[in-house]
Amino acid sequence: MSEYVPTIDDIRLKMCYICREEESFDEPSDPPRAWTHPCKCTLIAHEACLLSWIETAQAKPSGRDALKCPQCATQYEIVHSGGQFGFLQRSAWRMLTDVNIIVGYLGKMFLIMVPSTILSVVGAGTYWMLAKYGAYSIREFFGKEVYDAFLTDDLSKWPWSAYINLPLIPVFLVASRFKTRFSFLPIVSALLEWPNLYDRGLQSPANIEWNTITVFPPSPYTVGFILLPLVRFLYNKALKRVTKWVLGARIPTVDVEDENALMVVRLRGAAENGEPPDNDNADANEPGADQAANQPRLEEPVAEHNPADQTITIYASPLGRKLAGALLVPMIARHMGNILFHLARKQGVLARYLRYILAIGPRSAPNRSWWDANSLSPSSYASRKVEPGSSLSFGVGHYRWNLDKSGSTILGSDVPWKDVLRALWGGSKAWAEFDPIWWRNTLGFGIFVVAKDALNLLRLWLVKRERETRRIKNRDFAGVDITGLDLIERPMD
Amino acid sequence: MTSISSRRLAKELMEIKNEGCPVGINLVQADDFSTWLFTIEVMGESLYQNEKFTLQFRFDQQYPISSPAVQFVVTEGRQAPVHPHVYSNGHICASILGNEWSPVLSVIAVCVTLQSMLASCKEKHRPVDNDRYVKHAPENPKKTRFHYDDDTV
Repeated sequence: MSEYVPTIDDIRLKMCYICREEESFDEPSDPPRAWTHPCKCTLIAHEACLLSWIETAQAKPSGRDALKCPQCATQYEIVHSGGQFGFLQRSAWRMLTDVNIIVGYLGKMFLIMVPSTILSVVGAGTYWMLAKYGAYSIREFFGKEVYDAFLTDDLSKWPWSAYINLPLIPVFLVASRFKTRFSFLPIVSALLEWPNLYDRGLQSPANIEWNTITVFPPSPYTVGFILLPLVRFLYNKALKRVTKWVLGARIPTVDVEDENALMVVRLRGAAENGEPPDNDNADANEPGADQAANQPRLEEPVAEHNPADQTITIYASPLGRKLAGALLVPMIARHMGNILFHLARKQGVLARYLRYILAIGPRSAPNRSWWDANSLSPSSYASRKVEPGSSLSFGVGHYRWNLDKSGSTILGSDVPWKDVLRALWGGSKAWAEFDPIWWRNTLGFGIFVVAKDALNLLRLWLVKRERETRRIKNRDFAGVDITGLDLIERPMD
Repeated sequence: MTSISSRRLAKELMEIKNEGCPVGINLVQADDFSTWLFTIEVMGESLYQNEKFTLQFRFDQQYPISSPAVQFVVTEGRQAPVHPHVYSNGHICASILGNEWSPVLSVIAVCVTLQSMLASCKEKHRPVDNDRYVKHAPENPKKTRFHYDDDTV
């Protein structure tokens, strides 16, 4: 008697373990579907279902090369048409599959790389633009001499810190227009630049004695760290007072509901909140950081909104003005500095005092604009006579107060503080040899700011006057049909 | 032409309706063939006594060739069980949901496996990298590449 070995076709009710469909022995499906029993347990499946499962499983990277039955772990044997594949064909297939996977990864990398390349190009362009602006602003503010000494147009000569500080200049300029807390940022640049400056000072060609380092004009460090916050603070206080006095309002406000308004001045109101008009007090540190100091003050918001207040609403684009204003600082400063310079070079008593204040000497030259850098040389201005007996001795490149005479008595003899103070106040040797363009630029810009605020106040005051004295013109009823009107009896005189 | 997933899910649903769920497992919602909800409890003495959790199954067009996305539901006041393989956002690190999925398994089988996973837990604590994972977790747990290394829990 032969052993009866049943096959898959002998099962009465087949159920595919993948799709759970059943097929009965006496009702074969139409069209007929192939069944397979690939392992040692009783699981059976449609061949198509199993092949689909194997295909999906093999595509996953989770170690699926071993294909086996989930229940009895028997390896499935895959048979290709035409018998077993030759070794060559199998390895070719494997290699090509691997290549496919690699190419797939490359495609993914490409997709990531393209936008990142674009971004980095944009970033580099922005960086370059910012750095160029920074260099331009240095040139404008400090003058050509300083620019040539520290930076020059030749990119290869820039110190490493320039690459960090210069792009930061426009960022700081704009940032300082928004919130006071940003105003400390330039200090970072300043600190970065300090060792650099010291090195330059050591290399300085001019023979400058330490004893005679200038106290006046103050170096950019002094101006930036000490004078700037102080002056700005005081000025803002003064401005508040004056605004209140002129307008009868404390601070101009920003009306939250009116998006287009730059400023809404509420007159005779209980209290206001918001930002004052553009308020700059620019000053400069060393080549590392220019900064337009601005202080938009935000008062406490007021709970009640008194509708009886008169309001003056000013429409402008606040952001654009802030940005443009911030970036124009170096140029404005330069122009004002030049104006002051030309004023100082005239004859007359006022001009002489101006010269003292600005510490202008024979080597001074007006700060030419960036594009006609080569036009005038400083020596052509060296014709001014120096008054004898002046407390300021004008030497070539030296603008000194002789600290030996006055300084030591002020500070006490042999106090080591002297040198420290001199260093802080007068700056390193590096600064002493330069025409203090930055100083007159700073002063000029300060004057500009004061003038601008004054004009702004004037404008607001005029508007207020106009509002207050507004009347609507009265007409009589000539020419109007009076039959409908209910007129009182006028006594006939 | 209904897809393989809907036919299979229809069969599973019918089976559940006819034969009922195992003890501790209850079908909450199976209105469509994309998302099903179950509640599971661990019976008998266990660390999770009297705690009821909601399990969510999400199926795609390739079920059962592709595994379902299974996670505990953590919305509306429900919590994921505190288990070394269950993250606080409900995602589960279980091999049968990942590389050991096979079409021979079913929804009920997954529920039973998870139930026994909870029952055999020795210590209630969250996975070691729970906070980090939850911060950057994808919405669909199938997108996570779980590392199945701990077989003892």
